[in-house]
Amino acid sequence: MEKAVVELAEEEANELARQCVELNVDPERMVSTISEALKVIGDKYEQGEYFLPELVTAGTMMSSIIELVKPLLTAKGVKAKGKVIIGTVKNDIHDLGKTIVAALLISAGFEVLDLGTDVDPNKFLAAAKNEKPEIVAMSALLSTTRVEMKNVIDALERSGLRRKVKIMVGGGAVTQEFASKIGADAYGKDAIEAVRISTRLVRDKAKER
Amino acid sequence: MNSVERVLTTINLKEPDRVPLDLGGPISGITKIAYDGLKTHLEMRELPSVVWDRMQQLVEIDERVLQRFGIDFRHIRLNPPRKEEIKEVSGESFVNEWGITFRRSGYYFEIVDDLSPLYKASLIDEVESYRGPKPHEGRFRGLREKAKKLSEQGFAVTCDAFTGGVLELPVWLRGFKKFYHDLVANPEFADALLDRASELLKLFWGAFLDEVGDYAHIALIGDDYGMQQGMLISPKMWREKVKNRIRELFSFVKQKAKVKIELHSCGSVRPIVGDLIEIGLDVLNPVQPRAKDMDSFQLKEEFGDRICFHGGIDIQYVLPTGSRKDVQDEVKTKIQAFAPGGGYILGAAHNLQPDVPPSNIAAMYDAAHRYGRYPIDQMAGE
Repeated sequence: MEKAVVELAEEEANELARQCVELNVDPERMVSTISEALKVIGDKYEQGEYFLPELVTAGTMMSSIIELVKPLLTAKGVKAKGKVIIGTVKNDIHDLGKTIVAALLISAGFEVLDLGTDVDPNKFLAAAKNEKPEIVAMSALLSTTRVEMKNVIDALERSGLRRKVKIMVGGGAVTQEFASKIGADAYGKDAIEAVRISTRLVRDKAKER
Repeated sequence: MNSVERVLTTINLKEPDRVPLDLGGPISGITKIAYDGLKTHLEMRELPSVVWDRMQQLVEIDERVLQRFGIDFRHIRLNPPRKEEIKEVSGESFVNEWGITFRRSGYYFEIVDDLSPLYKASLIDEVESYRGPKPHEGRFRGLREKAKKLSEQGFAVTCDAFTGGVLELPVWLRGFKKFYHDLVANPEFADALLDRASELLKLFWGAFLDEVGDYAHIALIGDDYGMQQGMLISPKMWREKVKNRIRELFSFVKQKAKVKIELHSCGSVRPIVGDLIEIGLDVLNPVQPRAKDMDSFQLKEEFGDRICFHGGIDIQYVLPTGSRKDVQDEVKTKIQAFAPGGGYILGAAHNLQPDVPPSNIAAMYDAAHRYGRYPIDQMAGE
C-alpha cells in the first residue's frame, strides 16, 4: 500500500487500503504507513520530482484512505497526535494549499478541523475556544488578505487564548518575515513543511505544560 | 524611429534607439486603485477610471497617460460579451460567458473552483460537448478600424489574450484541484480537457485575427506554467501534455496573421524556455525576477540570442515598497541585464497593484527613458 501511495497509483492504493481494513490490519499501522509514504512524497516534491499535480493527487488519495481508517482508530480509542484548526483568512477564497495541508496533517495522524475559506477572525476565535486545539493554522494567498492573520492573533490575545495555542501560518503571500512580524509561532513554506512544523509545535506545547 | 519600428527591431534582436516600454493589456496593466493614485499624481484627476477586467480590477488607460510615459504599445482586446451572456448572481458574484463563476475576494474577483462548468463531469463526452461561448460579431465590432488607426499612428499593436491558455483554460473550466488530479489519475480525461480548450482557443484566435490580423504586430497568449519556487507541473509533464498543443496554437496564430507571438507565464519557467524558443515563441513575459532560477542576467546569457524578454521590473517588492531610488536602480539593473543587443521590452512584471505608489510608477518609466537609450551604458550606477 505504501508503494502504491508513493507512486500515486490511486485505484490500487484504495483497493489495498480496503483489503487492509478487511484483514483487520492495525489502523495505527496503516496511519504510520501513510506517514512514511508522505515523507517520501515530501522528499520527491523538494527534490523536484513531484510537482503540484502529484501533491494534489497525494492529498486526495490520503484523504480517501484516512476516511476508511478513521472509524477504526476511533473504535480502538487511538488518540490523535494533536488537534489543528485550519482556515483561509477573511476575504480570501483560495483553498488549494490549505486543503493539501489539511489532508497531509490528517494523514500524519492529526485531528483537523477545516473551517474553510473566507473565515472571519471571530470564527477562528470561537473554534479555538470550543475545540481547544494545539495549533491554529492560517492560510492567505493575497498580500491584501494576509493582514487578517494579525486580526486573528489579536482576537486570541484579547480573549486570553493566545498562550494556549500555537499559531502556524502559510500561503503565497506569507513569508517568515511577515510571520515573525505578526507574532506567529511558525511559518511553513509548503504543505510538507507544515506537517513537520505541526509535529514540532505539538511537542513544544507538551513541554510547556 | 516610431514605436512599432522600435518594438519590432528589439523583438528581432537588434538594438533600436531606446528600450521600448509597455503599459496596458491584461498582464502589464494597472488596477483601479493604482490608477486613481496615478491620475492624482499626474494631475489628471478628471480622467475616468473604467474597469474592463473585473477579475483583476484593471482599468482602461487614457491616451494622455500613455503619452506621458512614452508607451510604445497599444492593446486591442475583444469587446465585452453581451449582457445576456453574463449571469450576475449578486453584487459579489457573477458567472462569465465561459460558465466560470467569480466571487469577490477582497479587492479582486476570484474563480470559484467547485462551481467550474466541468467540475462535475466524469465522461469524456461531457468535455467534448462543452460548448463554451461563441465568438459572435459583437465581440469584434470596431476592432479592425481601431487596430488600423493605431497601426497607422505608428504604435505596436498587441492582440491581447482573452482567457487562459492551453494549460490554464482547463483549470478554469474544470477546477484547479480536479484538473491537477486528472493530470495524474485520469490522463485521458485530462487530454480531453486540454484538447477541448485548444479547440476553443483556436476558434476565438481565428476569429480575432481574421478581424485585426492585418494591422496587429503581436499576439499575446497567457498561460501560467510557473509559480514562485518552481513550475506548476513538471517539465516532463509539460512536454507531454502542453508543448505540442501550445506549438499548434502558435503555428495556427502565425498562419493567420503576420504577428510575433508573446507568451505570458508567471513564475519560475527556466526549464522550458528552450522548449518555448524551439516551438516558435518570439517574446517571453514577464520573466518574474524573484521567481526561482529567473535571474535576469542568467536568462539573457542563456537565451538572449534567441528570444526577446518583456517585463522584468519587480512588482513583488521593489515597486510596492521601494523608494524612488530603489525603482531607478531596479530599472538600471534590468536594462543592463536584458537590453544589450536588443531583445528587451520594459514593463512591470505584472499588473500595477493597489500597493504601488504612483511616484514609483512615474519613476520606473522616467528611469526607463533616462537609462534605456542605446548604446546601453553598462557601467551606469556602478
